Amino acid sequence: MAGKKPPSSDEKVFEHLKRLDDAQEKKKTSKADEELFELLSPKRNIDLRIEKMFQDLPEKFVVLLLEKVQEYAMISLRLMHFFSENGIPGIYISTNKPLSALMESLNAQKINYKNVFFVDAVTKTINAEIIEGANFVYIDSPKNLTDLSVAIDAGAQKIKAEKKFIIFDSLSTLLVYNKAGVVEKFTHSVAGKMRTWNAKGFFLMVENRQDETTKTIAQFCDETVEI
Amino acid sequence: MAAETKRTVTGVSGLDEILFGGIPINNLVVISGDPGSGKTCLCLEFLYMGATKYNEPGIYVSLEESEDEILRMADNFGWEVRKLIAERKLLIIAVELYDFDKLKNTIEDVVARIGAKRLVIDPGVVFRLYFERELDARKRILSLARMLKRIGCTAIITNEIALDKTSSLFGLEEYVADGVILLYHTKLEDRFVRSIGILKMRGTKISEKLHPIEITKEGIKILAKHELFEEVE
Repeated sequence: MAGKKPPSSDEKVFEHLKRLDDAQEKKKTSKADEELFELLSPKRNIDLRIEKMFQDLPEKFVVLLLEKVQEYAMISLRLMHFFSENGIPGIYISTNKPLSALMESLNAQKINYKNVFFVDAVTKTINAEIIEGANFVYIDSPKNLTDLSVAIDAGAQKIKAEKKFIIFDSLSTLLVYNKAGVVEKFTHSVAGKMRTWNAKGFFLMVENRQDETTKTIAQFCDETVEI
Repeated sequence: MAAETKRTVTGVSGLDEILFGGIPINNLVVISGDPGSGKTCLCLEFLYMGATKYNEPGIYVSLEESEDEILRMADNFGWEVRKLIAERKLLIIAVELYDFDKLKNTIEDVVARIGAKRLVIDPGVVFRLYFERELDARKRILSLARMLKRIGCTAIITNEIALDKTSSLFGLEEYVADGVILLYHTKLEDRFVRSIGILKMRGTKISEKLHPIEITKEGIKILAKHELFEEVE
C-alpha cells in the first residue's frame, strides 16, 4: 500500500498563509458585525436590547428598569411595541407624559394600544388636553398615591388575560412629588400586587444606582436591569 | 377549638372586611373622628343596613341634630328611613335634656320597645356638657356602658377628635369601650383625604392599616383592599 506523499515545503507555506488569511477574514467579519450593530437605528438597537432582556428574564417578574436619560422616552415606547407585537395586554401608568402626547408618540411609531389600560397622573397637573376613553383614567396629581393605587387595581380587574404587563413610568417623577419613604412604601405595595396578578412588571427609573432609594426599591424587585 | 365569634355584620361597604367579619356582638364601639370625616354617615348606614338587610332593628340617639336633619341626610343617600320608622325597624330619638340618668333610662326603654339590636349615640362629645366633675363623669359613663352590655345591643358612640388631637371622653375609649375606630379627614397640601383605622376591637382580628374612604351617592365606602399612602397625623 502506497503511503500519503508528505507535503512539499511550498505546500506547507501555502497552508500556513491560508490559515492566516482565514483568521484575518474572521476578524474582519466580527468587526463588521460590530460596525453594523452600531449603524442600526437607535430604535432597532433598543428593540434588540429589550429582546435580549426578555430572554434572560423568567415568565413572570418585577423589574426595576434603569434607563439613561437620553434614551428614556424611546425605551418605554419600544417596551410597548414589544408587548403589542406579542399580543400581550397590560396597564401603562404615566406620571411623565400626558396621555395626549403619549398617544401621539404611539401612533407615530404605529404601536397598537387598544389592549392597554392607561392611568395618567400628569395631564390634570399640567392642565393638558383630556382624551376620553373607556381605558383611560386620570389622577389629579402624582401626589395622590392612594388614588393611583386604586386606579391600577381597577385596570388589573379589567384585564382578564393570563399574560399581562404593567409599566410604571416613572418612579423618578414620583420622587419629585413625594417623600422617598412614601414612594418606597407605595412601590412595595404595587410590586406585591404585580406578583399577585402574575404580571410582567416594570418600574422605570432614571439610572442612578448609588441612590439610597434606588437601592431600597431594587430590593422589592426580582431584578434590576440597566438597558 | 375556640368558639367562633358571633358578630354584628355592619353591612357598611368594606368595614366588615377590615374587621374580619363584623363587630363582635354586644361590643361597645367608639368612633372618633375629625369634623366631616363621615361619622354620622357611617352610623346611620350601620343602622339602615341592620334594619334592611339583617333584620336587626336599630335606634339612633341624637344628642345634637334634629330628627329632620338626620332624615334629610338619609334622603341624600336614598335610604328610606321614614319607611323603616313606620315599620318600627328604626327609631330616631333627638334628646335635648342634659340629664344623663334620664337619657340612660330612655335608651333602655326604647331598646326594649322595638327589640333593638343596634344602637348609636351621636355625638358622645355632648356628654361633656352633662357633668361638672371628672370623677362623676367617669362613673356615669361606666354605668351607661354596663347598661348597654346588659340590654344586648351592639352600640356605637361617636366622638370628635379635637384640633389638638385630645379626644378622650372621660376614659371611655381607653378603659370602657371594646373597640375604637378612628376616622380621619386630613388636609394635605392642596386637598383633603378621608381614611379609617381600627385602633382596637376586642374579640376579633383587625386590619392594622389605614384605609381610604369614599363617600358616594350610596353611602360610605371603605376601600378595604387599599391602604392609605399619604401621610396623615
